[in-house]
This record gives sequence, C-alpha cells and structure tokens, in this order.
Amino acid sequence: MTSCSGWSDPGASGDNMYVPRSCYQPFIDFVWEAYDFDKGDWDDGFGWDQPCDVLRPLARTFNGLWCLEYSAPDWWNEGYDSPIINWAGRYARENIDELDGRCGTITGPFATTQWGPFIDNWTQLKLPFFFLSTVSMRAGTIIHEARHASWKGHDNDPDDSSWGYNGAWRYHVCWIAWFLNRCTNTSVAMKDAARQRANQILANNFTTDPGFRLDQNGFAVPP
Amino acid sequence: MFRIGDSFGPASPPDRRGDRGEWVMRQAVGLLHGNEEEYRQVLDVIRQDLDAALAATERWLGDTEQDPMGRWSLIHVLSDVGHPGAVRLLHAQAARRLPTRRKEPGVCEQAADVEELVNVMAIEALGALARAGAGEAADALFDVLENQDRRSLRGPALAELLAINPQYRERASALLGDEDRDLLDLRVTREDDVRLTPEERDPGRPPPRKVVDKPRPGSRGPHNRPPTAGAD
Repeated sequence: MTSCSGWSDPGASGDNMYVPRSCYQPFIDFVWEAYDFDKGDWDDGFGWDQPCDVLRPLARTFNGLWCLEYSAPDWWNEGYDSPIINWAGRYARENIDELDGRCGTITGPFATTQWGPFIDNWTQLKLPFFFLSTVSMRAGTIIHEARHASWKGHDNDPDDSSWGYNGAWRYHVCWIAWFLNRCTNTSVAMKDAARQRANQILANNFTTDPGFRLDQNGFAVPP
Repeated sequence: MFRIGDSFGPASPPDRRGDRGEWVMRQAVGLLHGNEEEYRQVLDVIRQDLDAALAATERWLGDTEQDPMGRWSLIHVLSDVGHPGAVRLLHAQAARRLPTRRKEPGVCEQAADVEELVNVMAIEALGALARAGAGEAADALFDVLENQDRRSLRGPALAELLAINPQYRERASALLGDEDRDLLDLRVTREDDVRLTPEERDPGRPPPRKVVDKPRPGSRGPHNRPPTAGAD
C-alpha cells in the first residue's frame, strides 16, 4: 500500500462550483454503479465515506464525471449521431471497465488504463488528476481514458500520429470543442482553461500538427 | 479483481501572509467560478490598490511548488483587472522557462502540461492588455515569440500578436525559425473537424455492463452518504 497527500484550491479548480451538483445521492449512486467504483479502491482517505469533501479524490472525481455527463444542454440525448458532448458519458460508461483511485506521483501521469483480452481491465486515476486539474480537465481525461479502455492506444505513444488516427487525443480535443460550444452551466474561466488545454494538446500530442486550433466557441460558426 | 488500494490524507494549504493584497486576490480566485457580480466588485477593489495586489500575486506566483491552477487563476484575475501595471509580472510568467515534458510511453497527461498553462494564461493576458492599447504588452509578446524555447508557447504568442494587429505578421514572421513556419497558417477549427462517431465495438470484447438509468440533475441533499451500493 502507498500513502500520499495532496491539496489544491477547490475554488481555483472549479470544485466549489460543481460540488453542489455532484453531491446528490441519486448521482452518486448512478456513477458508482455505472463506472464500477469499488469501496476498496476509494476508502482509506480517498473519500468513500466523505463523497462531498472536495479536498478528497472521490468528490473531485465525481465533479469531473458530472461535467462529463451533464455539460450538454440536452444531456438526456446520448445518441452516437449527436455531438460528442452528448454521448461522452455513455461512451465512458460503456468502455471503462472500472474506475480506481490511486496515489501515483504528482509528477507522473494523470491516469493509466490497462486493456486487452485475458487480463484485468481497469482505469486508475492518480494525484495529478485530482489536484492539478480543473473540473473540465478531469472530464477530458476521462473521455481520453475511455478511448484507451475501448482498446485503442496511441500509435506513437504517448502521442497520436495524426488527427486521422482517431485516437484518445482526438476524442479529448473534440469533447473540449463541444464543451466550449454547447455547455451553458459552467464559468468563463473553466472554458478558458479547457480551450488552452485543447490547443496545447493540438500543439504537443500529435506527431503531425492537425493545423487548427480551437477558438472561444470551440470551432468556427459559419456566417 | 481484488487489489489493495492506497491511502490518502489531505495536505495543508500553504500558509500565506494575510495582508490586504493577498486577501483580495484570494477572494477573486474564489469567485472566478462563482457569482459574476461579486467577482466584478472584487476586481474593482483590486484596481483601487493595484500595487498591493501585484506584490501579493508576485509572491504567490514565485511559489512554483504549489498548485499550478491556483497560479493560473491569479493570472486570469489579473487579465480581468485589465491594468497595464501588470505587464512586467505577466511578461515574466510568459517568458518563464519550464522543465522538459516527459515523452515516454504510458505518460499521456502530466504535471508539466498544467505548468505550461500558467505561461499560456500569461500570454493571453498580455494579448488582452495589448488589444486594450498597452503597447508594452505587445513588445512582451514579441520577446516571448523570439526567446521562449517551447513551440507550444511561441504558438499562442504568435496567435495573440496576429489578433492584436494583422500588420504584426511580417515582424513576427521574421522571428520564426523554419520549424515554426506552419504556425502562421493555423486556422480555426471547423465543426466537421470535431464531428465524431465511435466505431463498432471490437467483437473480441465483452459486452458493456448493463445500462443504469441516468438521473435528472439535482442539488445537494440533506442526507448524502457513501454510495448506496458502495460496499462492493
């Protein structure tokens, strides 16, 4: 067993804005079941018995999941013919086998997903996910890991070779684009951080730069 | 499958000096995702004693061991304050050299990415000040374009300069190396770029677990407790 600690300002990360929404028993029970959380992965201080304490990893994970599940104004429409902002939660639920909290290290990866036949499939969320991310950045990480959990890795690990490869980085950026374009229940600053993160991914995580960047609306709106 | 989990304890927040500048910046950061009217009122208070707020911000930003999104938020607040007195501080943040990103298999997102966002926010804050008429902010952006060692920071600096004044293109172009030429031709994302439909599920994979009804959003209830199904 590893022991760890962490802190970041829950006002700056947006957790104080989201926790009144995620701290709702029907939502807690829904995600617990749908993402296959297990008590043994989230107790010992991670927050199993304090699911609304934003100084602990579990509440921060719930906030990220709330952002993933309810950022579309028509959140109930989860059809795969809709924009990704609508179906991202469904996709994550259908592909992530189980969601576990772990320490990792603050300088290490945000999350790790193990996938494949004949082995235990899981997604582990780690300290930087809980304490270096804003709420919407956590939602982006979850859709990214969900893409891995669908058995799709990076083809130039840790990068994707191109936009056309259709990998986790593309899913990540697409979700943010639609979050900027459609989400009405968040703050301007939350969207600013998300846009900057998406453009950073476009600059850093594709072997061939896709050649475009998101604007404040996510994408250009035709005249 | 059974595994032994880790244990966690919340760390203590940093002990900050409780002067007026520190206090007011902390209020602003706390309201960044909160009530917009109250946030605007705090910005007015900051403008009334900008030097105190800048001094506190500079101390806070100097503590790079702590909370990068907290530091990002401070810079966002300064951007919203919109006073050219912040240019020196913003320039220092935008030009700051960062450790090399880890490029190794399995490390997708990492702390270095968030640290870089602090610089990006400073670059965008300089751009906002320059668009409002602060010429020294544009000069700072040219300096970042010329001297920042990261392409992922030179790109935002260039984008800001081109947005401030399209006539900056020629001067900016002269500062770019061959490896950055394509940054001049970046376009805004189009809707069809970000339309996506998942492919069929790999037939070798087990089917997804049973569908759980998604509840209507609600708000904090009086009896929130550990997950009802949480014992397994």
